[in-house]
Amino acid sequence: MQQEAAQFTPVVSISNLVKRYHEKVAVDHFYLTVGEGEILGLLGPNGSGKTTTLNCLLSLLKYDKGDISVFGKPMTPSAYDIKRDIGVVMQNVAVIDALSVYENIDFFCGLYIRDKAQRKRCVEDAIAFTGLSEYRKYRPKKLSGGLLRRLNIACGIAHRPKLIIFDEPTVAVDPQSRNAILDGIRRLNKEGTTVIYTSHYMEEVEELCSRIVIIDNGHQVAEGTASSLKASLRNRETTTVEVSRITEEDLRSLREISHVYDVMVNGGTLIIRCDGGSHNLVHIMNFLMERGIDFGRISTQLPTLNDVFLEITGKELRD
Amino acid sequence: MFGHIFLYKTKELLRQKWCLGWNFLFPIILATAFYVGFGELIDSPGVLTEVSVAIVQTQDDSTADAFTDLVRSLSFMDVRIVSDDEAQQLLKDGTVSGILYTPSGDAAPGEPSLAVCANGIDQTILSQFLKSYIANEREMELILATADSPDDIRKAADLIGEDMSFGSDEINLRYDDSGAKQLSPYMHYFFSLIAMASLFASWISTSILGESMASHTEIGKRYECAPVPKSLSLTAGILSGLLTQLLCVTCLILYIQYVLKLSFNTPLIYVILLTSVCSVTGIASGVMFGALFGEHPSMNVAVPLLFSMICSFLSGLMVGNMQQIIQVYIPWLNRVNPAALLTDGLDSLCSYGLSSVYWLDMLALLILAAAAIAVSSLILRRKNYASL
Ligand SMILES: Nc1ncnc2c1ncn2[C@@H]1O[C@H](COP(=O)(O)OP(=O)(O)OP(=O)(O)O)[C@@H](O)[C@H]1O
Ligand SMILES: [Mg+2]
Repeated sequence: MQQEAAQFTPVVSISNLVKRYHEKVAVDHFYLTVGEGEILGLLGPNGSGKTTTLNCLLSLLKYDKGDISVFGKPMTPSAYDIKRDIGVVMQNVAVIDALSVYENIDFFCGLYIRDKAQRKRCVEDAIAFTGLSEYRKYRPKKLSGGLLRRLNIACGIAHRPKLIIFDEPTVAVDPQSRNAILDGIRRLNKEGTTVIYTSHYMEEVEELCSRIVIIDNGHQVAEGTASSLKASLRNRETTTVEVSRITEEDLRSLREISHVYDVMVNGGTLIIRCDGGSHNLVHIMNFLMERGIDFGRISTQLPTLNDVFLEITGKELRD
Repeated sequence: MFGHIFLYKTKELLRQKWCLGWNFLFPIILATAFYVGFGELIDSPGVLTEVSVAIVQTQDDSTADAFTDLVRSLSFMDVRIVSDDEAQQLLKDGTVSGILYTPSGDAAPGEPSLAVCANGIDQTILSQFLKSYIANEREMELILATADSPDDIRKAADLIGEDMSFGSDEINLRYDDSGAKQLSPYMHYFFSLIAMASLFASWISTSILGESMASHTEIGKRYECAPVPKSLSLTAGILSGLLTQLLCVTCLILYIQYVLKLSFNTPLIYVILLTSVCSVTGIASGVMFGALFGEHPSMNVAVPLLFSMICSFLSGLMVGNMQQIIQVYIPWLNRVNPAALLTDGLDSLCSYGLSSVYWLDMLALLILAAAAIAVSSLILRRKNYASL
């Protein structure tokens, strides 16, 4: 896995990171390499250590073990030349209530860029980019949840960083705003920005990220592109059939069909899982008609990242 | 960078409702309430009544005589020399506020003592007198033993005077007939109020500190992700807090002098100077509270609020002679309570003009501020956190 990633010019390289909170091991020998121009999706159940990893990466947290370097240089709390090129959009909205939209962006941008004219341009761009032009005079309290998230993003990216870290930027955001945010991230990436993106929305990650790392209990459990991850699943196709009546004998014969590896009846629904093949649906329908089994609606599904995620991290609830 | 943070922080503070409300409006409203509450009393100059006291000479010797002379020499004492029985009767009648027993014997020296049967300002003055006499006993006895001129007695009286000047105006006014200006005793309440307003600075800095630290707030994370040294962003923030605070207390002082027309009897610049130093102490304590407890959001308001309220209460915000009571029982508390230091300095300034008391109080405030900053920088030195 690591060799594969090393082909990129690493923008971020985390190796053997261990972070404990007292007894609790939050990050457990975690490795991550992010190449230039990538959009890396960092996925994991609640409490798997994503935010902790990112905070270590930003040198906000002390860690017990491991090496972190960014842009090829070791990351430390006072590595200001590195920090200058990093943009952060935290999981929770962090804006100043007493300042207007414009002032918020200008203030945070000013922590990175001294030159006034340049800063003005950056702030204007960030406002246009997040579609906040109409709201520049608004105080954050008057913004809706989606606009607030966009402001949060604008504050984090106005200084045009080379690496942007998004920690769940689309929580509690409606689909329209979410699309706007995702489009924005894609545009930034086209301009050459490297992105690390965490989210619990699998579709979002699937469509946005060029590579995905799944973390669970603080260590990496899978890595690859969305399609390579899906390809690693045994399940390639799930067929669901509404049936009125089916015998044990029928079920046994169904399992004999090539590529079918799992058959299950749930109420009036028959669920058939296949691990490959190309004409599974035809074979299944032929079988049902031969046996004279009445059936209603049929649908087939290809595996999603969600399936990959659930298969890899298990189905039990997390903290 | 410094200017950028400073300007934005100031803008932010001036727009914050709680800051405007508590640090600016609340003290002004309270000052108005005091003014209305005290009514005409404020304008009457210090009431120069005397404390009547009976002296019982336990022994007839030179020490007892000298002590009696000393008490007599104090302008605020109305003295009767009587026998013990008579004295008890007078005390019961309420004709005298207390009985002073002279120190006993040249041969076996003993302390003078006091008997009172009520609580009140007169009794406090008597006990304060006795305390300072006993505190300076050795010197006092030396002077008195050799006393043969009224001048010596005067010297001894001055010695007591120095001690008692730490108390309230009431004592000063009654005691000192040599140059104290006519300052309304009610001004002490306004001094305590100014002290409270100055210490309210502490929550400005607690909140500024919270906003700059990743361990405290989300906004703090933004600061600490930015290429700006923490010391710089904190200093800029704290100085902007100080500026805001100075604006607030200066307005309060001007309001008291020019709107309520209560005179400080002294050039305002010195009042503002000492108050500013007290605000520095307030800001510094706030930074320390933020550093110590700031990770718990509820503490961010509770600790500075309690601190300002307790300190100003102990300096006499609600009970005018609180500071003297403390001076009698726990004198060191008045030396470490910034509010008491400020009111003491202002009392002295407005009654006697600039004096060493004023400058010493200012020095003590600065030392407190430096101590708070030292503690905070020890805590804030760490660059990253074990937990967020
Ligand atoms: N300050 C802390 N003190 C103690 N334990 C903590 C602290 N912060 C996080 N943890 C624990 O560390 C583990 C990792 O937490 P982290 O916040 O990194 O998870 P996450 O992957 O970001 O989760 P989520 O998806 O819910 O944001 C969790 O078990 C959490 O309970
Ligand atoms: Mg998280």
